[in-house]
Amino acid sequence: MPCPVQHAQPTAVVRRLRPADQGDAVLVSALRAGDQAAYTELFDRHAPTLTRVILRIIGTPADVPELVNEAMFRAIRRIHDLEAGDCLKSWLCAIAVNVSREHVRARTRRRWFRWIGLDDASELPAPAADFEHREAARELYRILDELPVDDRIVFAMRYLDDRELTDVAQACGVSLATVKRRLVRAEKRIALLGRKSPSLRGWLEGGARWASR
Amino acid sequence: MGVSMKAALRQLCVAVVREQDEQVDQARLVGEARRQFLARCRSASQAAPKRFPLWLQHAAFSGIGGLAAVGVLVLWSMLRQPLTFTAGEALRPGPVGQTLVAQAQQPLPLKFSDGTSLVVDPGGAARVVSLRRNGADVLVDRGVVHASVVPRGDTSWVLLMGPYEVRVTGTQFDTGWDPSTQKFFLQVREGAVVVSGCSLAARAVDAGSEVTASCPSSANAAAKGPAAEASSRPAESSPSSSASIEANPPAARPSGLAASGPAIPGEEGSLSEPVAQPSSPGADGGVGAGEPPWVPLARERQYARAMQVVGDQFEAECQRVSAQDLLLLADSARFAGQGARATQALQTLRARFPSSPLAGVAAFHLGRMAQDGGRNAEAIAWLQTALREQPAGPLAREALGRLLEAYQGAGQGAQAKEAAKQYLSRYPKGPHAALAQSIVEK
Repeated sequence: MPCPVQHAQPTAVVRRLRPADQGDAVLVSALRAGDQAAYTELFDRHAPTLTRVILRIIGTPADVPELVNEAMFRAIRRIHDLEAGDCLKSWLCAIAVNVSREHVRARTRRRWFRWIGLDDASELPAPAADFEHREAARELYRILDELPVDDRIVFAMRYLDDRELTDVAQACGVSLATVKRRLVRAEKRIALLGRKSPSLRGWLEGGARWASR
Repeated sequence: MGVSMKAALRQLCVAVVREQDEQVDQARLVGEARRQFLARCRSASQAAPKRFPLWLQHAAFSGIGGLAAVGVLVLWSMLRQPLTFTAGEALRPGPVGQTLVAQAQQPLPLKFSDGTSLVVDPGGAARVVSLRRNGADVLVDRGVVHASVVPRGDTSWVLLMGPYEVRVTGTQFDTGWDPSTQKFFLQVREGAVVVSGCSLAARAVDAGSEVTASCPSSANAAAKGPAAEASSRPAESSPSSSASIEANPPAARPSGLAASGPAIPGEEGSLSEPVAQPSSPGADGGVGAGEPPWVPLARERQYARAMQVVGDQFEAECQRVSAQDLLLLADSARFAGQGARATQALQTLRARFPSSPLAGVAAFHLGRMAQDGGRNAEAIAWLQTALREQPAGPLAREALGRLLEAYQGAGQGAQAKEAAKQYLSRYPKGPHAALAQSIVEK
């Protein structure tokens, strides 16, 4: 008895994509359509990156949640300005940089009016932390406070967030040459001020920086 | 700004970042931000819509109404004529019924006079079989098409792919057809379409949904529905067009996914086998196909764009491209901020090309990434591997320097001292010499 011939059967699968299954282009379409679930997805997908970028730039954690929110809502309001959905991440990063820039400027203005500096770095709760490293962090951000905000952002993104210069240029909305110029300026200034600082002198002259933790 | 000062600044910043990461719980910050975000979303959705003064509303409506009336008159006169279209970047008038083939690495845009655009991915082929005043019938012979259809009243667009038919009134979607495997794919980005064909009864598919279907040849031939008839008509009526498709030799087909079929994303459920088949590697992982479309972008340091081109074919690319391109793919992913993908590409390189010198380079990069991420133990393992495999390679000095940093970071003083001695004997003037000296003297 001959074996029955088995024919391949047609198949069809229709499924609803979860937001997490979809790329940023689909997410942007949903945001443009006012889909509430897309707002949450936008946050869950990109908030960790924005949190890190903002923290590296401003240096203190207290205002980070508020600034992340501001960046997210600014993005939602301006989502129709985004031309290519696939560039969402870098576009969000640029917004986070702008929000951080405004925050640093506002903080600087407040300090002028108060005539005293807010010791923001003291917000770092580090009772058991290595004193030397804590002091270095505090002092580096104090020096960053003295830099022009655009130089500070470039330095923070390059050295603290370990980003490529092309990424930094994109996030700051300036040319690569401008980024390089700002970075060199920031490096020189930090090196100059750092050598005068007891907390950083050792790091910049090859001493304490090699200390193991 | 000397190199040593840059290195010192980098070292300082690494320590500052570690300090910051230890002291600041970023997950808690994200959680706090999320709580505020959701509360703000709720309050925004509950807030009453802002109302403008009544007179302003009337004025606005009157103005808009007047403009709309003029617009309707203009549109009405325009829409009496059948659409026209152009093909390619040169904007040449597009011929009806002729097969339009997207060349390797070059998508083919079709722009219609109503603002609708279709973009055929590299290696794909399509033809506009008829034009109406409110739409067109487009036969997709093979490959992926990205469609953006402008809705205009009774707009009627039909895309035909084998036995499948997608009816559109205004939307954005991606669709693909692979005649060799009889697989069909549709993903709707905006609006809704009606899809039918083979075993699939006509059904609406809205934004955020996708359809994957296969129709074996026997079933395709047996399909007697209007979709199957519609799809076969143009092919039969224009044999010269079919010949032009067949005349497109495999060597001239685009590299990458299109080399082994159209770039149809992988499916779930009943369709499990990937469309793109991994090629067998050559001596150094070279493959027969040409250069993948993302490679030139990566070489031009357009890493984010390169990763966009790779898209969800990342896994397939990892299995397909050469060792050199895997390294480039890892760089692209890393510089595009996709660390996990960079790691995956490097690990794939090592798994696929274990005897290649580039395997050692991959180990070095894996070690560097682990170290930059503060994972010293992992960094030590990878850097040791890199040094073992490439003891005199171009990255050996940097690998040894980083290894002693990693030992130090991990609190392994004895190993750090040993590595420092080795470093000083081999590279007494190397960039890590001062660090090594301080470790030896400690």
